Amino acid sequence: MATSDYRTEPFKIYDKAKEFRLKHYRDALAANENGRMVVLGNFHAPKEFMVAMFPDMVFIAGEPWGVFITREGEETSLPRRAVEEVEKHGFKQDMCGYMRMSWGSMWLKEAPWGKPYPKPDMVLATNQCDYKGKWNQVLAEESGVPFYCVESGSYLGDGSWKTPEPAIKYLVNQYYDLIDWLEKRYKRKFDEEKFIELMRNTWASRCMWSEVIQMQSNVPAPLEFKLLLPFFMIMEYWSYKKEMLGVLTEFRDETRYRVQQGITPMPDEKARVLHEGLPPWYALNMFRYLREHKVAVLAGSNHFMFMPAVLPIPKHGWYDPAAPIMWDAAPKTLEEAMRFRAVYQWHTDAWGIDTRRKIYNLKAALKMLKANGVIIEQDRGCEFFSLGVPEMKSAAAAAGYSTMLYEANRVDQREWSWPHVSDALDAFIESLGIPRMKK
Amino acid sequence: MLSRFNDFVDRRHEYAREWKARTGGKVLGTFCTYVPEDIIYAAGNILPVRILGGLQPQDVSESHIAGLYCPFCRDCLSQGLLGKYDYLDGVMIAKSCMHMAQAFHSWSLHIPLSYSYFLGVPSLIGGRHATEYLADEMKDFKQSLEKWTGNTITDKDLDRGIETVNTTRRYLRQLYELRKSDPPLFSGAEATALVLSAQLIDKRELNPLLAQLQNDLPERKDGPKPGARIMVVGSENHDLELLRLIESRGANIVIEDQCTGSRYFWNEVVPQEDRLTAIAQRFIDRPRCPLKDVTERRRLDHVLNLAKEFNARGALLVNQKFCAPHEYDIPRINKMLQEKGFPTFLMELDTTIHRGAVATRTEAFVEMLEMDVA
Ligand code: SF4
Ligand code: SF4
Repeated sequence: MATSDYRTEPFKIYDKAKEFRLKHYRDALAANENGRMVVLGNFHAPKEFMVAMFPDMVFIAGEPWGVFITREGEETSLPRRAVEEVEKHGFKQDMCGYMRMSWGSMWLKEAPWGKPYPKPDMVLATNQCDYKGKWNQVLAEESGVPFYCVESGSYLGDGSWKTPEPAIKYLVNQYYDLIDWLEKRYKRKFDEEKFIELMRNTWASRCMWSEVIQMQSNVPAPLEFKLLLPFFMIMEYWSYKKEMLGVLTEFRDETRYRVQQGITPMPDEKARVLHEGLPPWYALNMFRYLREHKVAVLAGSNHFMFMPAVLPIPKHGWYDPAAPIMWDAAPKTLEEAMRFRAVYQWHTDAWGIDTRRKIYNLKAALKMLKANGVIIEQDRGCEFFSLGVPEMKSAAAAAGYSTMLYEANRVDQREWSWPHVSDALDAFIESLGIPRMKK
Repeated sequence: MLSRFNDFVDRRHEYAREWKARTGGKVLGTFCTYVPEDIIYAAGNILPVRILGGLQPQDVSESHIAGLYCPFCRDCLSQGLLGKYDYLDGVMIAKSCMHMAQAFHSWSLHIPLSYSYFLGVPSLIGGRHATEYLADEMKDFKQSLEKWTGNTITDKDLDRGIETVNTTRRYLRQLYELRKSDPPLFSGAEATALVLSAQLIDKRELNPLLAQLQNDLPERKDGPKPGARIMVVGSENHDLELLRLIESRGANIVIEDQCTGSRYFWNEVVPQEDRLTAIAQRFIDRPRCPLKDVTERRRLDHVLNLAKEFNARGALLVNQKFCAPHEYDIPRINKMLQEKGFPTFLMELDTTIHRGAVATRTEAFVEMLEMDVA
C-alpha cells in the first residue's frame, strides 16, 4: 500500500470534456427547432452508419439521457415525476432506471432546462441487454417513427476469449442490411469512405483509452474514477469523431505527463480500489467520502470494455500493461471496418453477459491496477451490470481483496439509502487498514 | 388417466435416475425451451430434462444471483446446489433472458459436469439473417454433442430426432383441441402437467402415452365442471398446485401463452433439405417469447387469437417477480386485452405465494366475469 505523499495538479483537459457533454445537450434540445434529424437509441447502437449518411444528424442515447435528467432535471423534480409517470403506464419500479427516465420524459414531453422532449425521426438500437431492444421498441411505437435494431447474437459463457464467428457474421450481415434499409428509406447513398474513416477514428480512440487505463496502474495513479467519467462518455458516445479523437489524444498526453511528473489527484493515497458498475449519479458525494479517507478510486472493470479489438490477448493475462498497442491494425477497407465494428460490439456485449469473463476481468483489473479492494454497485434495475455480481464479489474476496457491495439505482433516487451505504463504506475502509473518521 | 402425467412432474428426479440406470444414457439439463431437443434426440441416448425449481423457500442461491433477478432462476440454481439434480451429466442453455443465463453460469461454475453449453439464439427473430445465424449456431451445437457422445449425427439421425419431437408436438396440439369444448375435457393444471411431462420424460416413451390419452380422453366423465373460461399469459409457471387452487375457485383455464404451455409445442419442424435450417426455422416461426418480440410485435395478435380460438372470457396475466421480459409485455397485453373486451387480472408469482390471497382474488375475478356474461 502506498503511504508517501505526492504532487497534485488539476487535470486540465477535464473541463473541456465536460463541456462537450453540455454542448451535446444544447444541440440535442435545439435539434427540432434547427431542423436537424433526431435519432434516439442506446449508446452502442450502430450510429456510425447513420453518421456516414447524415453527418448533421443528432443521436441521443438513452442511457446518458437518463443521467442528464437525473442531474439536470432536479430543479423541476423531473426525475421523480418521470419514474412515477412510467408506473402510471403499468410498468414496474424494478425495471431499468435509465429506461424509465427515458420513457418518463417522453410521456411527460419534458426535458431539463425547461425544454420539451425532442421529437425523434427514427430509433436505432442494439439489443444488448434484455432491456434495450424492448425499451427502444416502445420509444419508436410511441413516437410513431421507424425502428431499426441489431444484436450481437451469442455469448459463449465459458470464459474463453474466442470470438465466435457465427455471431460476427450475423452482426456484419445485419450491418449490411441496415445500410440497405437506410439507403432505400432515405434515398441516399451510404458513404463507405466516410464510414471507414469513422471506424479508424474509433480504433484510434480505443487505443488512447487503453493506454490511459493502463497508466492507472502507476503508483500514484494519475487519475481517479470521477475524472474518467466525462471521457468514458466520450468513448461510449463519440469515439468515431475526429474531434473527440483529438480530445482523447490530449487526454492520453496529459495523463502521460502526469505519470512522468508523479502528479496525482490524491497526493496522500493510502489505498487503491476499483468501483465496479456505474455510480448513482445523484450521489457522487460517495467519492468525496472515499477521497476524504484517502482511498483512491482508480477505475472499474467496465472501463476495460473498450480495450478488446485494439489489444492483443496475451496468453498470460489480458490486461498486461506491457502489451503493445496495435497501432497499425486500424481498418482500411469496408470489410475490415465492418468486422472491426462487429468484433468490438460483440466483445463489449460479451463483457456484460458472461459471468466467467466478468470474474476474470475484475481479477485482472485488480491485479493490473495494484488495487487493494473493490466496491461493487449492484443496480436494482440493471440486469446487464448485475449479472455475475455476487460471483465477482466472492471471487475477489477469495483472492484476498477487500470487497463491498451496495445496492442502488443509478437514477431512481427512491432506491438510495446513504445511511446504509456509508455504514458499508466505513466497514470497507476499515478493512483496507484505514481508521474510520468521525461522521 | 391424466394423473400419471402429474406423477411424472412430481417424481421427475426418480424418473431420470431410473431412466439413466435402465438405458445407460446421459441426462442433459436444459434451461430454456429454445433448446433444440430435436438435435439432442438425434444424438442418440441422451435425455433432455428441463431444469425446474423446487417451489420451496431456500437460501443457497443468495450468494450467486443478484437480488433483482427472478425467483424462478434462483430456485432452479438452488436445486442444483442442493444436489437434487445430481444425476445430470451436462447442462445447456439456449440464450434466453439474463436471469436464466445467470442460473446457468453459476451452475457451470459451481457444479462441474462433463458438458456445459451456451447456445446462441437470436432475439431479433424477425430479421433476415436470423434463421441462417441460428442454423450456424446449431451446427456448432451438433458438433459439440458429437464430441461429447463420440457419435456422429447423420441426417438420418436428425430425421429421427425431428420425428420424435414433432410427434410429441403434434399430440399435444391435438390434445389441446379438446380444451375448446365447454367445459374443457381437461383442466389447466392437467394441461400444464402434460406439457411439463413432455419437457421431462423421454419422448419415445411419452408419445405412446399421449396417443392413448388422445384416444381415451373424449370418453372422459370426470373432467372439469363448467366454469369461467380464462386464459393465462406470462412467465413460466410449473406450480401445479397453484393452478389447481385457481381452478377450484370457479375458473377453467382453457389456454395459456407460456413456455410451460402452448409456446413449447405449438408448431412443428417443417422438413427441408438442410435439417438444421429446418429446426432453426421452427424456432423463428414459434409463438414468440417476449424477449424475442422486439422489432414488430407479434405477440399481441397471437395472444388475442388464442383467446378467441379457445373462447376465453378473461385472462390471468402472471409475472414471476422481477421477470423483466414479461414486465415489458404485460402492460401492453393487458391494455390490448381490455380494449378487446377481455377482462384481466394480474398476479405476481414467487417461489411460494399466499394461497389465501390467490383464492380470494380468483373468486372475485370469476364473479366479475360471470356478471359480465349475464
Ligand atoms: S439494464 Fe443496464 S445495461 Fe440494460 S439498458 Fe438498463 S442500464 Fe443499460
Ligand atoms: S421467469 Fe422471466 S426472468 Fe425468470 S427465467 Fe423466466 S423469462 Fe427469465
